[in-house]
Amino acid sequence: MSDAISQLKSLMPGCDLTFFGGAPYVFHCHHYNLFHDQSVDDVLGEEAGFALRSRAAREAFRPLLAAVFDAAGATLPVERIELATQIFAALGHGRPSLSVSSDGTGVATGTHLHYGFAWREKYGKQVKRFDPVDAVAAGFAAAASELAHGLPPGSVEGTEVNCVAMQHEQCRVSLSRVAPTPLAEPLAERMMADYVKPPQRGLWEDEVAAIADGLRGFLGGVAGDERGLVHAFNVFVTAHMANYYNETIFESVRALEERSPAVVGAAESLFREAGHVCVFNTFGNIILSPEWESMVEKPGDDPERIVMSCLAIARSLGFGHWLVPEMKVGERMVMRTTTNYEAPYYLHRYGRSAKPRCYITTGAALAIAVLAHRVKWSESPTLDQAYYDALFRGDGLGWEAEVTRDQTMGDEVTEIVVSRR
Amino acid sequence: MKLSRLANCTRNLTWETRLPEDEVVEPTLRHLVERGASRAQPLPRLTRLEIGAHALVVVGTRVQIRLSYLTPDEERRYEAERLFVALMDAVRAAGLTGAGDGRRSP
Amino acid sequence: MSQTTLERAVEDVGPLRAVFITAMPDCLLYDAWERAEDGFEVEEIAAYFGDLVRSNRQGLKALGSWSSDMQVTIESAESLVVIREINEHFVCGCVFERSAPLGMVRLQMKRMIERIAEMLPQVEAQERPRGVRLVEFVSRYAPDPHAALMRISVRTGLTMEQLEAAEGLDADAVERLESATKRILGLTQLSV
Repeated sequence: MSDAISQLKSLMPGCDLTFFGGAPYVFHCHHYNLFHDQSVDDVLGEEAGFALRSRAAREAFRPLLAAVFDAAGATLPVERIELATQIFAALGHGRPSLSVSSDGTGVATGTHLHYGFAWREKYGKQVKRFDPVDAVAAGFAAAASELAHGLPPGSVEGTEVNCVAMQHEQCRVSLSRVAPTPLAEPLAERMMADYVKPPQRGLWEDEVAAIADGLRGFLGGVAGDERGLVHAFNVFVTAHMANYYNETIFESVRALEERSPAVVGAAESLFREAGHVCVFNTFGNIILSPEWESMVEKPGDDPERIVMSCLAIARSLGFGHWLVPEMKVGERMVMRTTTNYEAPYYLHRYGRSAKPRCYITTGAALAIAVLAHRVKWSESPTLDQAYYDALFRGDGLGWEAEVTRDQTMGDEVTEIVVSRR
Repeated sequence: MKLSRLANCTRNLTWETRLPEDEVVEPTLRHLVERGASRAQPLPRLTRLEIGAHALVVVGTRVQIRLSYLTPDEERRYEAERLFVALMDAVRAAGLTGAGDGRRSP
Repeated sequence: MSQTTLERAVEDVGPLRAVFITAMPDCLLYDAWERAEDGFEVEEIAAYFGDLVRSNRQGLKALGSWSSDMQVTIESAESLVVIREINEHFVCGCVFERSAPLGMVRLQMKRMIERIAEMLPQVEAQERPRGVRLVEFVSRYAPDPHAALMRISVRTGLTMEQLEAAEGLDADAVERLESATKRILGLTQLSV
């Protein structure tokens, strides 16, 4: 990535939000990504789920690609397509081969796109899949095609016709022209001032901030390999557009509120569960990694150290300014965010909510308390599905979370009180 | 020395072992470099050796074997064991005896 | 059958590590015995063994080679597993040391099954509602079991409370449940 493009990355001081070309981005692992998309499809069905996910990806990648093309002085379609591919790969999403005509139609292919490849790795030996998974690549390819040829937003649509998750040899996205659809104005760095609050200091603040800085620096050097994948901390990692995650969650929950209000609670639980999946897999594997041992310490069994570690990890991943102002080991933990990556999007797009909507943050808070109190880190635990089930399934949880304040409702902060049952 | 599979997250791609003692670490790494591994230090106290498509990540006496995700499923255990044997050979070549016969945990 | 009874049935079977008795057709654990504390998830194992025998029975029937005295032998890296249908109501799965000679295992299995069969009760199986069986099936086999019921709920529009009391579901709800189960498990048909 050239210097001009690298300089498009920024950190909002005090907020622990990260931006690329003005678009907010965060790091998530393949466990989270697959669970997130699966939950969207559960709510909407595969066809509508794919349509929403690809549309959200197209909308989320457009501002980033536009900023990159501008910074690189890329004006020709061929330059833009090449640059777009490089960016997608650098973010860990895979390296598609894009072939696009001047009318915006064409194909994108790839054998190692993040979602398809990771799905096959994780689930391929357990279940068959009838539907393609790479909506993000489809949306990205559509955005690249639109911008390469100066086409209006929403005028190209990507449809995945083959997918390695369906046991095809390679993924294949077909790009076709559609009637342009108006885009919701994407949330961007310049609008954030309206939504973020002054940072507060929590317990262990100086150490949290220092570790977050160190880990952020390390993550800044992580980029996709020759296939455009990032295999780090025992997971496949992506730097991904926060607007994608937010649009897909909020739109699917709101669709369910219209269609089937009786089961909205289950959908919200699924997205909070996605927060558990994230913390267990990404945070857990970072803490157990040799890199963490080198940068911070070999993990021990002090719950406060684990909570402190998780806060630093969350900040470094671009999740926002997470802090714990109060903790009584074994009984109670209060987690607060003065900024997180969910609330600004909701407020920007829909205005105030009548109920709490920071699903990932809430799920993550509960998971942090569980990991801190129930995992024997000193024994190098195996973070597999069976262990996840033992920690988080049914009565195994042992802890409960209550949202006492939520920024999507207009509160100053989001605050989750996690208590032992 | 014992080879353990980290059953977390990606299937059979990450394995771990420990070198017998601190004094073994540097001569063992040097030996592996002499045998063709490329060495980098991305973080303080952390060494990364690239061996073919795979990597060994070393911090203290802890050694994590990270196989390339392109390694076919059925070859992952074999590849991990091959690297483990190379590591034990390097420990022995470094003039130390703590490597033992090597054991693999289930 | 009490634990002591099962213990008596497996007396003198040296290389035996564990026995699981599964009640059919619901694949529920009826009883189990372990020689050492291997930390087995006995209920899950009993359920898997039951499903395996059922699939095996259907496969053999499709081949036209099913007989009631069939048994499944699995030679894994760590152990030798033999699963046998005792009668239409019970399946017995036995885990032996991997080093045990197969011939001896077969002989011991035969004697042990005779003893266990005598100890098992005569039952009139009462088929449970299909909705209940579907919920149990998807909870057991879904790739993310922790989320299975929530996934089913949003896919079907059935609340968690309805799914937890699936015996009360009407035909339309059961059909939706079955359709969602197949979708989640990537199956075109279910033999539940």
